[in-house]
Amino acid sequence: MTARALASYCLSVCILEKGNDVALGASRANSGIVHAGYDAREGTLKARLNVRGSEIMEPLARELGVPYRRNGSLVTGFTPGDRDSIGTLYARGVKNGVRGLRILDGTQARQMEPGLSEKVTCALYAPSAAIICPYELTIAAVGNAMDNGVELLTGFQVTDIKEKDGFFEILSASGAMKSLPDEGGDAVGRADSSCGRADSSCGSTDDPYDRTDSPCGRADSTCSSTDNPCDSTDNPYDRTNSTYGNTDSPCGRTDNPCGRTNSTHNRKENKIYARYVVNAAGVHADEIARMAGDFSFRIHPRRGEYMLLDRECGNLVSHTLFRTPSEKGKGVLITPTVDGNLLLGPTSQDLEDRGDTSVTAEGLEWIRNSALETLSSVPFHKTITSFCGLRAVGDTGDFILTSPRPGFINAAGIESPGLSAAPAIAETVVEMLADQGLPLRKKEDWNPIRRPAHAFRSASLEEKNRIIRRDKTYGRVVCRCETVTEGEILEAIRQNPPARDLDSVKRRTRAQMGRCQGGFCMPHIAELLSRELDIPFEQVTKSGAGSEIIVGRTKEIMP
Amino acid sequence: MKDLVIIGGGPAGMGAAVAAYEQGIRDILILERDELLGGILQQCIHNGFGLHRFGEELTGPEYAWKYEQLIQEYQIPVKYKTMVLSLSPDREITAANEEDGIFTIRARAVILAMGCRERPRGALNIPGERPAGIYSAGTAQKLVNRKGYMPGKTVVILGSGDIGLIMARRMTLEGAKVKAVCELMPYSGGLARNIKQCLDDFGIPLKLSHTVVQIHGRERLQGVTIARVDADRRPLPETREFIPCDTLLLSVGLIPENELSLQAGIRMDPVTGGAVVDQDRQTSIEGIFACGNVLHVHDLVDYVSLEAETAGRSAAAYIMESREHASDHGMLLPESRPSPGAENMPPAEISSRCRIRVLADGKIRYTVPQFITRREDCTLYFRVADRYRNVKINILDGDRLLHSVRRPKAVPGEMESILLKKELLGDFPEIRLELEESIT
Repeated sequence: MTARALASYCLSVCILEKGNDVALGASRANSGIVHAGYDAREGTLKARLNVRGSEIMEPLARELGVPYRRNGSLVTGFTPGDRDSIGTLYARGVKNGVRGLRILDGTQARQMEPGLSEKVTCALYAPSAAIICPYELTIAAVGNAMDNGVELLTGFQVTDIKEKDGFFEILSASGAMKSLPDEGGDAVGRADSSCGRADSSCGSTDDPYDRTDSPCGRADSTCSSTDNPCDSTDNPYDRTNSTYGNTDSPCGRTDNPCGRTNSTHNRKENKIYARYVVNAAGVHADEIARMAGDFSFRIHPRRGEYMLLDRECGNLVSHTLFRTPSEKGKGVLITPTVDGNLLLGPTSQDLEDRGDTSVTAEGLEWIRNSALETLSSVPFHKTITSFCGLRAVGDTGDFILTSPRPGFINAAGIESPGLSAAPAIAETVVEMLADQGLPLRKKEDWNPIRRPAHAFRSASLEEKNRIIRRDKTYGRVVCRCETVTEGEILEAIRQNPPARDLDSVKRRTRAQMGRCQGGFCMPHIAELLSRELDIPFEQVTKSGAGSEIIVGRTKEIMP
Repeated sequence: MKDLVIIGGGPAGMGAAVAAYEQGIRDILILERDELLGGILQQCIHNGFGLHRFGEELTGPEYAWKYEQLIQEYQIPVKYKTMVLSLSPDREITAANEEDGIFTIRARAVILAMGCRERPRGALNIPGERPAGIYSAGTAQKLVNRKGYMPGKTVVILGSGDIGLIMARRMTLEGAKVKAVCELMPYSGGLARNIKQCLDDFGIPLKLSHTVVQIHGRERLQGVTIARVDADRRPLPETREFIPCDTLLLSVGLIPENELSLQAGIRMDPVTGGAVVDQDRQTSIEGIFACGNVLHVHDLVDYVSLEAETAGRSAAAYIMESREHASDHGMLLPESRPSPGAENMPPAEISSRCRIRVLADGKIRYTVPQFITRREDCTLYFRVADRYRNVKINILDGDRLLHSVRRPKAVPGEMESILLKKELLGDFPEIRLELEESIT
């Protein structure tokens, strides 16, 4: 979001991402709720930015072509204690500026949501709550930023940040290691990337950039923006595949306006210079801050497991249903998703391991049991998958939007309501950068509109046929469960930010996300990736290096 | 307007097309999503197909070729790489392909032959991360047999369905090490011959009453933890065992692919996951027939072909009759919209000679057909819920025994059948199939 906000100015901005795609942290796996804003205590950043973010989310989603549905939410209460808590939430919401809040009794709540258990005695109704797909929003924001000149470096795991002659020098061990054909993972450990790049000093002809992953969650990276008053604003590469072989000279990039190059190879850039760095590295944000000499906060990961039910079940509820928060935690939420599935979760478990997104038997059991308290019945046999995300929990209890040193800004500890607040966090970060001297001059040709990723899916029959006549790949359905065509998959691979593995295609198109979970279409999609990225089938991955889907050709592994 | 549109060009679709042609229907169209006919047979390069149907042992592609030759000879048109997107109750089909775009066709009769899909990992909710290296057995089979790629080197297979067993052998032949096949149930759901030929002959252990309780690995699978389960299928923690492997293949059930049938409002059988049909394989919507794995999962393709031929012949008869009806009344086609509440009604009748509902007792999980609407000899196909020895299969009208046959054994993995002579079909609303665990 920050990158997207900065993309509207004449700046050179680059997003550094350690993963093979954007939105791989909390943005990939959270509840997808745009909260109304009654949860956080008044006066906190969480409260202010949630309410503001929630207000600007709808127009933002429209610009980015991301489905957004204001379905309203209900906090359900069962006991007199719950009733008191709901009263507190109501009062807090009013103070935070949330509009339209109402307290309902059990009958009123069941009128609104007929599947609610008879045991529900009261509820807080928030009409302004909405649902959105968090990774789709993040991908669209980065895509729009890239369309406006922001550069994205994936596989760039930041390993050190130095200050040098007024610049931050951001180093990545993995950047260099990527050029080796194999191996290379473990030595680096994980640490999310971050970084920035910059080049006002260098004669880079192009532009803009800064990065940051969406602050809605994860964000593996940081970005830096420079104030190079770039003249060329639009991206030099044709939008095939963004990672061009950067050189590692400081201002580096050769301007190979690359056509397609592939992601895991050729990337040599392991050093980036930036005047400003935004640390939006999610669960790794404290590690990145420490590299810049800031030891002021700590982040730990909190596991949140979810179950996703078939689209047949998406109509089971129409509102987002929360439990009344208590000392036992926030309880399970039940919500339809914008894609029409039913989502249940999350669990809440503090972890040490910042990469552990495993689902546990206990977690799933808890979700099942809790959901059955809220609703009278849930068709769990329609579960199509379970997954887990990590929230980046800070030690301050609030979002951490700080600048420990000039030019370095933390956007850290972005736990719930991080998704809701993301657009407002981006505004705040931009203001902070401006306060520190980053000149903000609007680009004349900035285009805030992104072609919706689901444009084909939602087109009329006539339009679809027009599109198919022009490009017949849109007539070939590849994913039968979600009806995704080859044309849409190619679009996902060619459009910003380009999909380079199976999971990235899945997040962009929903192909492999239906009831068969890719059983039928995965080999076909892998072939398209192989062809488009010009890599052998053996190098096609599920989610980046190390997750290759096959080990070789038949007849090759005979002992 | 087409006389007959067949959705799916696998063994069921081809068998139905051939049978309808041989009954005199010429205006036939097969819609196939793949680029070739044969469906899943094309990736089943092992032998064992055709013993019943052709009296010889064929590979999957060879079996498919038998029918494909007839399709060619009869010049039955096929649209390839064509996906059907929707089906309406009045038999209007919307489909898409590269050449025609999105188009609609109306048909006098439709035969559903979309096959089935594999139950994916997600549905099982196995704890752990979601690394590469976990595939359904059929996906792995496609990668190996049609694409020439090896999904892994060290393999654990969960589920002992036939595809899982076949893939245990296939992966072994290609040089992979198959460490175990785990089966949740105390018996295998696969054919006895496959357990012998695919596991025993290669020394691959079949671990009954075992399941995978944990997935290990983040990028690529590193191993699985398996455990024995108790009688209620709950894992026993003390029996946990880690098996390093880079691949987990799932063969945990097949689900008839009935999204189109549901869309059309066809009445479904919750046990089979397929449509409720009569002896003609006609569904609750007149003029729409179903056969093959979309109707109920078969263990032998030979029986799919038989069923498809029944559906093809019945559709042909229906088409002829509706043509006559149309010419008699000077109209194109009788409006065939189902009457209100039809979804709760038995299949519509062609000739209203009887309407007998066929019930199963629980030990018998289901029967196909579920209705008999004509007093003719009728073979009832069924599956049992557990393993039984020395049983009697009784057919009852209330408490009155109509017919009874003995079976030395009956197992869930093998479909059984019983012939019901027309003389037995009296004037009653239902008959019941009962499994009697008889005196040994």
